[in-house]
Amino acid sequence: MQNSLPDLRDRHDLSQGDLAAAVGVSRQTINAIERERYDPSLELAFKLAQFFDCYVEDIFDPDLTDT
Amino acid sequence: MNEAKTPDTDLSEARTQLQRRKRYKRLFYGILTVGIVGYFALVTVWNRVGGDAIAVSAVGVYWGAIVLGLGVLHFGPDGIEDEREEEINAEAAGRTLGVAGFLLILGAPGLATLGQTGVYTAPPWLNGMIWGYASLFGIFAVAHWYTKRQY
Repeated sequence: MQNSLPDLRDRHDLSQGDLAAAVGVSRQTINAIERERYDPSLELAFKLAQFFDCYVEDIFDPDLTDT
Repeated sequence: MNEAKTPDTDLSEARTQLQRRKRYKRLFYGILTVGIVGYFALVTVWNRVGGDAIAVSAVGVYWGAIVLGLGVLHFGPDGIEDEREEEINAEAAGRTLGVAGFLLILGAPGLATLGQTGVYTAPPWLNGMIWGYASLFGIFAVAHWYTKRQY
């Protein structure tokens, strides 16, 4: 799923490891989400949104036009 | 969109927790590896040298590793793997079941027919494998029924 995690991380000067630690997953999981190889659970998506103080849809774009 | 909420102190604590989970994960898989490798090493020695003590030690090392591993899971942090790793495990398990199902569907009727007609008698290990796969699907059916009840 398309997402703006890399931009958000850059904006907050966070490494993948920092973000991973903050939301309780491995760095590889953040990497996989950023590379659109893994879609996070709702719980993780909300954790990320809560961490960046924004809405889930500010981070993730499901691009529902294909479905 | 505002500043990220977690202050540096929280981030430091979160990093420590993540490191702790990594340590426990390494410890868990390390213990299991030692148990399995130790078991096969001692069984190899037992095959060459003999002696009940060695055979019992092999099982002891293996069971000891299992108990220690369960201890790590019990006393360690909640879950040593995150959601992506759990999904990888589930997907790999599904694929394994798919391969077993493919072999069972193709192999079982063929072996039964060949055996009945006397064309080919399967060796015990092959029959055992087919029965093992069939049992696996029996367990899967029960697990599926149980899991479905939770949703």
